Amino acid sequence: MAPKYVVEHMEDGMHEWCQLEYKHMLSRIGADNLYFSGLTETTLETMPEDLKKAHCHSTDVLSLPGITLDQVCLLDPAAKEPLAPEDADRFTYFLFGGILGDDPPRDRTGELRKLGFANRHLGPVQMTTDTAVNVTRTVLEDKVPLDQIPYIDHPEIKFSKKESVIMPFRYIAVDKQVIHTPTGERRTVQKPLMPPGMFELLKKDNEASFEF
Amino acid sequence: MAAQISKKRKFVADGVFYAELNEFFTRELSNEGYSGVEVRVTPARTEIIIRATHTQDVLGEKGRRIRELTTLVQKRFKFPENTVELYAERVQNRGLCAVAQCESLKFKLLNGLAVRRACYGVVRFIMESGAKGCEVVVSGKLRAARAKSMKFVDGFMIHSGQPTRDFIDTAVRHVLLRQGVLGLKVKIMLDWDPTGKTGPKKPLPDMVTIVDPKEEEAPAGPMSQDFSAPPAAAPVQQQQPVSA
Repeated sequence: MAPKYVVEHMEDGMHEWCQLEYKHMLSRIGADNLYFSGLTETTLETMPEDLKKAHCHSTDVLSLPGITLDQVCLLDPAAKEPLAPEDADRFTYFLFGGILGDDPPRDRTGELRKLGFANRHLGPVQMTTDTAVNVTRTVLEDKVPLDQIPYIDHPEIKFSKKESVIMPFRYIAVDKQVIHTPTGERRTVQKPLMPPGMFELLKKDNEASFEF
Repeated sequence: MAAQISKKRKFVADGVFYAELNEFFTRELSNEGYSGVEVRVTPARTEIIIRATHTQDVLGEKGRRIRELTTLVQKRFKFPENTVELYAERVQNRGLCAVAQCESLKFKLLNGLAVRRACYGVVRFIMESGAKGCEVVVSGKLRAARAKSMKFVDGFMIHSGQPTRDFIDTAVRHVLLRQGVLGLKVKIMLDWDPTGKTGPKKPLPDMVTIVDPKEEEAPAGPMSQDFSAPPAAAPVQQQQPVSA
């Protein structure tokens, strides 16, 4: 049975960042196996149309229909065991915290840990929610062990010669063909896998101001 | 000094004194663009020189503030009366002082300015003050976004070796947000300055200047030059040897 991915949305409101990440997840997994829980009324209303195609619930994860505690595996940075391809047979539902993370992490996953799920970790470095779901899918469905997936940690994304952003997270590395303009030769370069539109969002974030 | 302290303890005590003074003034005088202290010990008194950008505010109305600070320092470190003096000195070029620029960036962000605007403003001011390069990093979490580090650079920057200690001025400041901390880092690379006022006296070790050759007359024919000592009674009008 195909594993089902549950994202418990733990932010107030559906921010643009969350929307981009969730849409990215949807494109990779498909609407049938993706569940969103913990959505407040206002969030449900403001959700974009394509996200509504997945299963959306305003209750928390344990109230989802047909779900029992032993079928759920929480992906938790503080877990003792790493995720393995065999976990696809032991668990049906894989739970993620839909959190926009801090650096260093504030351990908001702890709120889900209290509910008593079995847990597995995805490595020592914090990941974005869509990266975590993609990694889990690669481990469980493509049967690739966790440490054999190529990663890029803390990538620096350059907007111009003078401006750049360092994201303190782990991303999956994908090969991108880059043409080396002076000589015209083609080179393969590894870049972090990010949702489409994330580059523009990061650039736009630099124009925001902090709240005190 | 009443008792004899060993040299080791004396140096450690001096270091601790300097550290405590620096920390105290950083917290107290952050609004006045404080950027450093210098402690000079003379037999009669101890002079503490405060470098700041707004010296008028450090002095206060008719010298009131600086007198209060003097009393505080005297009472805290148990100096006898009239043995400690505080002076305020203006920072020559505040665009080249990392501490001053970091505090300025902190105030800009606290007042709600956008990150890009605040950082570009600081970077531009630093480069206009004659720095060779600068780097400003703001790390933290914006609301409705993930934590990240935003980096703004301009000019030239070195990262390794002894020249980093000579040429680079760094400052780090923490700003408390509602949930968590914002980290600000400002790194300024100074240009070398033979007078020593706005930068180190020596240029970078790998900087090579190739001078143009001097104008020389070609020798007319074979010649010989006598380098032995000139005769004792040398006439005033002496034929000078052709110098090379």
